[in-house]
Amino acid sequence: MPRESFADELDSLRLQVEVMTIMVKEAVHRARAVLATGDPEVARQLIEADNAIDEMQISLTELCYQMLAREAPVAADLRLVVSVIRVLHELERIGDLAIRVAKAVDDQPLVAAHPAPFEVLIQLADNVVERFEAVEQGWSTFSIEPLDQLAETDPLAQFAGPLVNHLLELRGPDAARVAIAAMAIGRSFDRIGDHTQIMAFRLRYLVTGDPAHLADEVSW
Amino acid sequence: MNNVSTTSQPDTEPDTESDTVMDDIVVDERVALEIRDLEVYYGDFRAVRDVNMAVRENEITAMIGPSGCGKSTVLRSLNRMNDLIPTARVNGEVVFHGVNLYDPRVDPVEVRRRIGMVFQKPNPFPKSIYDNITYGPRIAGVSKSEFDEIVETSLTKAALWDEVKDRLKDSALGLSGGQQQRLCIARAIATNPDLLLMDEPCSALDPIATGYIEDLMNEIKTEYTIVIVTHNMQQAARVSDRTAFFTAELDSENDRRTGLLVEFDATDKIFSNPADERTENYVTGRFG
Repeated sequence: MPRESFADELDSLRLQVEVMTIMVKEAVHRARAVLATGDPEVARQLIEADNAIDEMQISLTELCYQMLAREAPVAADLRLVVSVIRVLHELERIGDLAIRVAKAVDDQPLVAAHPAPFEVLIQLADNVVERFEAVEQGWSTFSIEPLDQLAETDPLAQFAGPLVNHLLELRGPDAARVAIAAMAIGRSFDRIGDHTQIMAFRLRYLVTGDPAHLADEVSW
Repeated sequence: MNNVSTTSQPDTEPDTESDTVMDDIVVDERVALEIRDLEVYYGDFRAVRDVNMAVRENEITAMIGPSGCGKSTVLRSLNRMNDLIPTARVNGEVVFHGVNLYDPRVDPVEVRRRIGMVFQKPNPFPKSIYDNITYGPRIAGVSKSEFDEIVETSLTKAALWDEVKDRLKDSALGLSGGQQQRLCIARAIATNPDLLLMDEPCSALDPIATGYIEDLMNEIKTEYTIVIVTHNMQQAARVSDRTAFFTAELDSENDRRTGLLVEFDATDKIFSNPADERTENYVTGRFG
């Protein structure tokens, strides 16, 4: 087969993106765990692991640029390289948003002490984790079938109202601090959900070649 | 496959009763040349089969495909160059502005005046630059009084005038390879053709000279329709508006390979999301 070495490079690129996606999935799981347990050790592990994610983003982006320059890929190969460049950015952002949750670890006991808003946050985090796992599975297999289980609704759209209502009902000296911390945590998970959705649109574009999915990314 | 989109939609629905071979080609006023069910034989060997495509005016149409897929054979059939090969035979039609070029009443010399050809290797005549340009007009009976203007116009269009205007009487063989190829393009357009055929015009040139020829093609396509055969897929992607991908398949009857048109579409489509898996495999370098 001609250009066998380039085909091997593309396979290697796919594999490395899969590895990076698993690393980011771990970060999302840890963010959920920090929210649920307030375990400072998990928060520390999450923050430490982010360096490796950042390094992968830089090195794989550089690799993609080199492939564009050297191999001038077209068709599905081009869609793969440019789509990987896009999702590397999304993955790196998801890692950073997970860190924001980790850095709120000191406020976790306060938030957890208020069962009503805390339960909404847990549901939101579970929703985001589930979404990310579906997208991760899709990117691992280059299949859009796992994406079908994703609801097309914005996660926060269903959780924002109940969360805000519960926070408005808080009383006492810690009310403001709890509300600010809960909103920051909720916002981080919501943004993780947004970046995950963009990865889903990009996978649909990569697999189908239909530029309408690029428009979905922009309008999301 | 073989669909040709149109900029001007017909006012009425297509005639679904029609059973002609061109059912899926929507003809509009911009089509310069239509290839209908083209087959080319060398003796009893069928070199190419089932080519249906439309070349549109003021566009660059690229033909790509692996060696032996018949793209050069198809190109040569567009101005009856295959007539010069005794065993060659063409079935089907090549309709140029409504006239089938293979109609017995059509003069092949007139065809070649209206449809010029530029070859892979620059092939200037061993004459002066001036005489190379005037060769075609001279045969066509153009008055000598018009020669100076034709020479300047043709060389200007071919982006060569400034480089050679002070040495028009020098031998064309003294020009560089890139200049010789531009001279051949100037020679081809000196007879004022409607269509220019280019058979791998840059394959013998360095990247700088190739860049000149590609720029030139883009500039002159406002006046001419161009069909180019190229092995350089990046060149096809850079310069052409539409791309035809050919491949070859083994003919089980005679154990020989016959070329065929696989896909013909907008160049952007061919190089971003081709419809046929064989095209995808070729443009990505997985086959061929």
